[in-house]
Formats: sequence, C-alpha cells, structure tokens
Amino acid sequence: MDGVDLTNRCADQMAVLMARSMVGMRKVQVGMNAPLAACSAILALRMAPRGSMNLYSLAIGGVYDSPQKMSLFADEWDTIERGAAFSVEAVIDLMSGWEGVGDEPVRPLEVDPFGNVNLSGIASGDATHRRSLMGPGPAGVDVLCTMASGRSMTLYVTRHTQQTLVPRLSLATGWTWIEGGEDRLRSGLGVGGWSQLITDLGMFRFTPQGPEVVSIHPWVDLEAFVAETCWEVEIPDDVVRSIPPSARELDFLNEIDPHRARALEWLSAEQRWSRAVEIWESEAEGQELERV
Amino acid sequence: MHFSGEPATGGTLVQGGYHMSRRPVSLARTALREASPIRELVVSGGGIETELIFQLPSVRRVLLGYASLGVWGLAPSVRRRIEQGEVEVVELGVTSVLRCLQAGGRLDPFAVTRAWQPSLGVPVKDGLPTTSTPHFLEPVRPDEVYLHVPYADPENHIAWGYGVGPDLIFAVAARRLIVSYDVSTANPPVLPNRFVLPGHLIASLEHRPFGAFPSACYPLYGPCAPFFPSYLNALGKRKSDVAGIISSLGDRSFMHEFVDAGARQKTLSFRRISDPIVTAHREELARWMESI
Repeated sequence: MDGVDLTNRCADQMAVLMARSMVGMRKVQVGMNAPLAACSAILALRMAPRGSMNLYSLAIGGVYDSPQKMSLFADEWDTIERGAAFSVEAVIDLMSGWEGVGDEPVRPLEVDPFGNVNLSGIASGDATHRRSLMGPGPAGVDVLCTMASGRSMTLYVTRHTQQTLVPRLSLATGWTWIEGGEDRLRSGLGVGGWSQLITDLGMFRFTPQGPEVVSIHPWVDLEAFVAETCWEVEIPDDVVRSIPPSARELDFLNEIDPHRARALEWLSAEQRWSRAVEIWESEAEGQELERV
Repeated sequence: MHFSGEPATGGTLVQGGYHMSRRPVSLARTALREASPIRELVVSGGGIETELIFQLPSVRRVLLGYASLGVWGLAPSVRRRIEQGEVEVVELGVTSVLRCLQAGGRLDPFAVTRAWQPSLGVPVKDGLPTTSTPHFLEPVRPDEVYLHVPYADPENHIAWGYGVGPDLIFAVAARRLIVSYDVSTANPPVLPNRFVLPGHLIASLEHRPFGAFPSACYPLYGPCAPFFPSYLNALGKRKSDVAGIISSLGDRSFMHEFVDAGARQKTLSFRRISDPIVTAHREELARWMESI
C-alpha cells in the first residue's frame, strides 16, 4: 500500500469504528478542528434510526438531528440559517446537564495507559513555565472527563507511536482512571472519562487495571503494533482483527464526505492547507444568492 | 487603544467571536499598530484574532481555554511565545473560562465548576473526598473587550444575530467595551437569535467594513480560507515577527497582501441571502470590496 492508500484506509477504518460505537447514542458532540470525528458522527447519524440521535457541534453552538454532509466551512452557515444555533451559555448547560454526553471524540497529544490525556503540550522539563511544545489548550476536556455518561467515550490518535501513547503524560489535561485502581472512585469525579482509544493501528479499552487491546486493524503487522506500543498490554496470538468497513458504510462515507476531509488530520501542513482551500472553493461555489 | 481620544489602558483583554465568525481582526490590528500595553489575555476559544494579538510584546500572561487556527493548525505566534517562555499560561477549560467571565460580569464572589482544571494541579490521591467537590474559580472582569458586529444604528446600538457566541458574556463582563461594525443602518434586519446591545454600554464604536475579515460576519460575508495559508507562509518565510507588517497595512493593503481578488469575491458570496435589506448592504459592501 502506498502512503495515500494507507492514509485513506486508516481514515475509513477509524471513522467507521468511531461511528459504530456512536450509533444509538442520544447525544453526540463534535468539538473543534476534528474533521475525522465530525465525519464519524455524521456517519453514525446516517446509520442510526432517523431521529434517534442528536449531534451537537460545540464550535458552532448548533444541533442537528438529521444526517448532514461533511463540511469545513458551510456547516456553520447551514446551522445558523436553520435557526439551530444557540448561545454559548446554553451550550455550557446542555453539555453538562441531563443525561450527559454519549460521546465526543477527542484527539489528544498524548494518552497514558489509564486513559488520561494531554492537550496542553510538552513541558520543557525545567523549573520554568516553558513548554517545548504548546498544544491547543484544554478546550472542553475538563468538563468531558467529569460528566460523561461513560458508555464509550472515544479518544483517537492518527499516529500510534511511543510519543503519543506514553507511559506517563508530560502535562495532564483530563483524567479517566488517574493512576488506576480505586483512584477515580475516591476522587469524587464520578462516572466518566474515556473508555476507548482508536488509533491508526488498532483499538484499546481503558480499565482501572490498565489498557486492553480490543482489536488490531486488518493490514497491521503484529510486530509493528507491539513495537509502537510501550504500554504493558497482553496481545494474544489470535488477537481480534478490526472489522473493516462494509460496502454500505463506505458508500455512506463517500456520500457524506466526498472531499475526504476525514483524511486531513494525516496530511502535512501545506497539504492540509491546499486541500482545505479546495474544499472551501467547492463549498463557496455551492452558495447562492436568493431574493425573497 | 486610542479610540475616542482615550489613552490605552492596557491590562486584561478579551476578544470576541467564535469558531470562524466575528473575530475582531481589524481591532486586533489597530492594537498592534498602536503597540497597545495589554498585559494579559483571557481566551476562551481563540482564533486568528488571538494569533495576531499574541504578537504584542506587552502580552505576558494568558488565561487559556483553547487557541487554534482550526483546520489551518495551531496558532504559530501563540505557540512561539509560550514555547520561548515569554508568556505564562494558566489553563482552564473553555467552559470554566466562560464561567469566570460570567461571574465577573455578575460581580459574583467566585465562579463554580465541578471540573478539575489543568492548571490547578494534578489531583491529590490520598484523602480525596468521596463526593463531588465543586471548585471555586476567580471571577474575571477584563479591562477591555473587543467585539465585531455586523450592524450599528445611528444611536450606537449594535446588533448581531445567528450564533450569538460568547460575545454577550464578554460584553457584560467588560469594564470597557470596544466594538467595530460593518454597516450602519437605522433598521438592522431581523436575524435569527438577534441580539441588540444598547449604545451606552459601549466605550468606543468604530466603523470597520470587513472588520472581521478573514473570519465571517454573517449574513454579510463568509470566511476567507485562502488568507490562512498565505499568512502562515508569510510568517514562516519572513523568519521575523510579522506583527509590524500586519499592523502597518491599511485594510486595502492587508487584503491585497494575503488574498487575491477572486478569493475575496468568493468570501463575499459565501452565504445565502434571503432578506432584501441584507441584500442592499451586501451591494454596499461589494462596492467597498471591489474598491480595494
């Protein structure tokens, strides 16, 4: 497989795994700058019985209850023109209240064996407040890890390496099992945090005893998976292989996301910029001036 | 910020807008041009306006929820100054930053959140309470708030609609509210979720057509994607602080510097208009856009 094929295969596999886990949830959220997560959520909406799921887009402050096409720019206008945007105060309350959140896939810089995450950056290691790498900031992660319904909250990383799946976080932004055992129970955080991690190599589940391998993707070499995973996990010889996307799921994906925005998170900066401008051009062409 | 002949106050600044909408970019450029002595930023969900204002050497501290250029990547000036140790970062989740500002606006003694905050330390394991513990945060009342809105009327009331975003929270919390607007009209159109802020709350009101550019200001103009790779390439190639260049450009030159005419026109067409009143202002803005 060449690089492009591999990227596309990873994006499709991860999108479908995330979508399958979201189908049937009443409330799913998509945060900012996560095209893969957004595509997965829309795919889940498409696969679920109509009207059974609600998709909240926190960046925009809007809600969908029917499948939409994937977009990077036009969705904001679509949402607000439908009158489905609401004030951020309402977003805060809706996020926190009622039955909580079914899922909001999050992509951290680092994740540790107990599902704790880092979106803050990499500490410089000295006594100053410097960081050798500054991340985007916590966004909504602090709330997510305290109020999630805990059913199957998802983390995802597009590059499964020993620099992303780490033994210990450089900086802690959000917590699942903290350091395992009864830590979470004793902490007062309540039920919540992230229950699974989907990577470009496979899938894990987080437990108070540590991570478990759920599956490895069909094309991934077992040795490569082990080499990139520094966590202590048991990988049986007959490890389960991730179920690949079905023809129907792929058809839906291509309908929802014909520009393959879901693969943007793998691209280099300049490749991503170029593709994003193409998508913007295409979405801008679709806009029309109407007169009453 | 020398609006209305008043001296710059420095202190703490909050900038409005959300996602790709109504970022007060023109005001941020004025602050750069005037070397505003802003010391601290409060950023709930920052974008291009945060990227620009971070280039002020006076900025030394940020209360950060999230800052990014979205699909274009992390904000390079934010990253650079924090990684070089020039700016201290205090991280709170986005909702917690907003709660602090809400508390500030209400003159509450504290804000409450049940989430653990990244910058308040990793939770202590031993002796943790067994029930949920609310956390108390300091209220924030920024010295200055910058907003950009589409409309102002002759009595200096401002109006915006569609997604209200966090701007109302910011406006209420501000000690001094500085607003730029695109169009002056005695009858702002009825917009979904329309909000009107009385003029007496505004310290300074500035007419800045396309003042949110390259972000959107619905319903007048959409976002301008091609700006971002152009700006990011310029930043990368110049190897020096581009703040001086950005701040020295008038609006016409700013747009010419980063965006070609075709893309500027696509920005203008990137929304659907169904209200003839808005259409009339679109024509006025179109003439202005063509003039530059």
